[in-house]
Amino acid sequence: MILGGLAGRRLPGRRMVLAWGLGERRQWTRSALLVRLVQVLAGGVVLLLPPHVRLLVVVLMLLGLLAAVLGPSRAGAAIAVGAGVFGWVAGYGAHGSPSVIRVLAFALALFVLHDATALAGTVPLTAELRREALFAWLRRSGLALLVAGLLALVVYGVGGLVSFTTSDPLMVAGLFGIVATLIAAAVLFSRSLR
Amino acid sequence: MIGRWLPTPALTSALGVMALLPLLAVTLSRPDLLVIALPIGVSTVLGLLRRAYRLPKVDLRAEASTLLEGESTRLLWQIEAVEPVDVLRLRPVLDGWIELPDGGRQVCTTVRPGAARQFGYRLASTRWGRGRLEGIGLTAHTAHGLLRADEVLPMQATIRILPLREGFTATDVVPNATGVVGLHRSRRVGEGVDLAGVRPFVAGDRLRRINWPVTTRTGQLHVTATYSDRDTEVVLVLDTAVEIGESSGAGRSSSTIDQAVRAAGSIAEHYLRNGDRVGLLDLARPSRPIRSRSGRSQLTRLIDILLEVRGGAVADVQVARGLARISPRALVIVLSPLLSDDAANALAELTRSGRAMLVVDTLPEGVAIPEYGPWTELAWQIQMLHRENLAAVLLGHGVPIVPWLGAGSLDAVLLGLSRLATVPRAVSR
Repeated sequence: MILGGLAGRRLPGRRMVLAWGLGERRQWTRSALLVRLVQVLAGGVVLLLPPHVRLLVVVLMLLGLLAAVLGPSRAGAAIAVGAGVFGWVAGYGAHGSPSVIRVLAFALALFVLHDATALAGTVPLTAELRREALFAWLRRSGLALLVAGLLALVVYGVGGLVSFTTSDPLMVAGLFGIVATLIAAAVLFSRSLR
Repeated sequence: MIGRWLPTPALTSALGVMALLPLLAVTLSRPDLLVIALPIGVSTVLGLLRRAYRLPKVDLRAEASTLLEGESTRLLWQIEAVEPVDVLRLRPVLDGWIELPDGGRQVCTTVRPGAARQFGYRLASTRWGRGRLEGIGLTAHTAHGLLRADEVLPMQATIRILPLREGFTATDVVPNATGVVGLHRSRRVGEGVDLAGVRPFVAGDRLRRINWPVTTRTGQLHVTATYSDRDTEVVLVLDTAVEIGESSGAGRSSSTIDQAVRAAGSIAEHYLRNGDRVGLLDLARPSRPIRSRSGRSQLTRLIDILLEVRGGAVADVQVARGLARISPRALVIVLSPLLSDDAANALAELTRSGRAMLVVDTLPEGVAIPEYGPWTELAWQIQMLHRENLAAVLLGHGVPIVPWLGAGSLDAVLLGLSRLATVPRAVSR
């Protein structure tokens, strides 16, 4: 056939790659974008709560947030959380004593950032997060916050009774935290990751 | 099913926070760092204590296994879990002419341990052919997103998408009505419903055929004579050597193969409903003709073959053999866009054999040609001139060519062919 003989060849170019990218963006779902919005908002609060915001912390935080939003299944969240904690510690100095409200607000914001990133890791941008999954997730997070809140009361209650300038109560509490970490690791690895 | 669980970056981040912050709290005498670590730590420990080991049971099926072009059905998910899986991401692996227009390509859901969940999404067919459910991509997260397992569940389910068949009808006059039963009027007198006249009674005539008004008037027994009802054989020949145009599905742009398949389906259904015998020959697969038969099962068989039409090059020798097997008294309806020289040679061969034949032009009106380069338009114009040449040659051999316009497209041509069938002529066999 004549047309076959005169047919030219087309090579894929930049336009096709861009078109593929734009095409993918059209398939992003509202639920996935909402989770990433929560990540960004929580990251902003973590960044702005410490009294003195340092440039290095801002840069690290923004890079970590960007990585956490675009690739929550990678190490971006660790960078964002690490930058946030560094900013908090550096903001108050080695022996600072922030107000209870600020501490609770920062703890909540850091937890929301970590939790939203974990959820974003389960929901790619093109996936639809159904209502039942979201509500179940929020229920579990709420329960963790409730238990953490009670434990925080205990910590501050003990702190009210015993001065934290002596090292013994704090050492006990710190050891408690390390033991909790070891228990978590033991539960995780004692039964094989099947 | 036991899953292979792997840690996620969220778990690494959580363990890092749980180890580092209490250490810093002790080192720097900062109890606030302990409080900051508490929510992440508690969430991690609670999650790991209630983690799942087994993956849930997932089932996927389509409500309907046969659709018409453009029709939709529902894709149904059924999930049963024994252990707490926090987020379950499901991706149906689809192939062929089906799509999920209202979402459902990737779905994240959950199900409580010991419970079942069912939900569905609209599954639409885009074009005639087959759609396949080939598997389920499954990603499960447990321990509040800290552990993850991936699995692919294979499955095989096929959805038949039938071509849109317009309400095609044609005249009941056909060139060679020779079968035993059918709805076509033959030229022979016999058992039937069409009146052939009234004649005197002869020995052997059936008593219920006696025409009493004429008998009473003439005083001699007369009977009513009728033309016998016959069926005919119709062979559809598909020329799918070239596909021009974009096949976008029902209600949108059609290609030459789309037109051919839809027309073939409509014509086959019409003649099979009338009790005729219909066969099919795809010139791209001439060694596998479908023999002419009648009945509903033949329609199902023909539709199944039409769903597999792909197009391809026409091999001369096999085509010649395939065409030679067509009965000399069959009505041959060729569905062709008249763009292939090989197909034109095959048609010329058929014409010389003296078979009653007509060509249905399947080139869509205003077909859009993709741009291949600066010479595309010129090449297409030359192709159209070549096509006109081919058509003129066929017309010169007495082969009528009609565009496909649905109901009544073939009536005038069939009447002409029927008259031609009564005229004696020389043929080569």
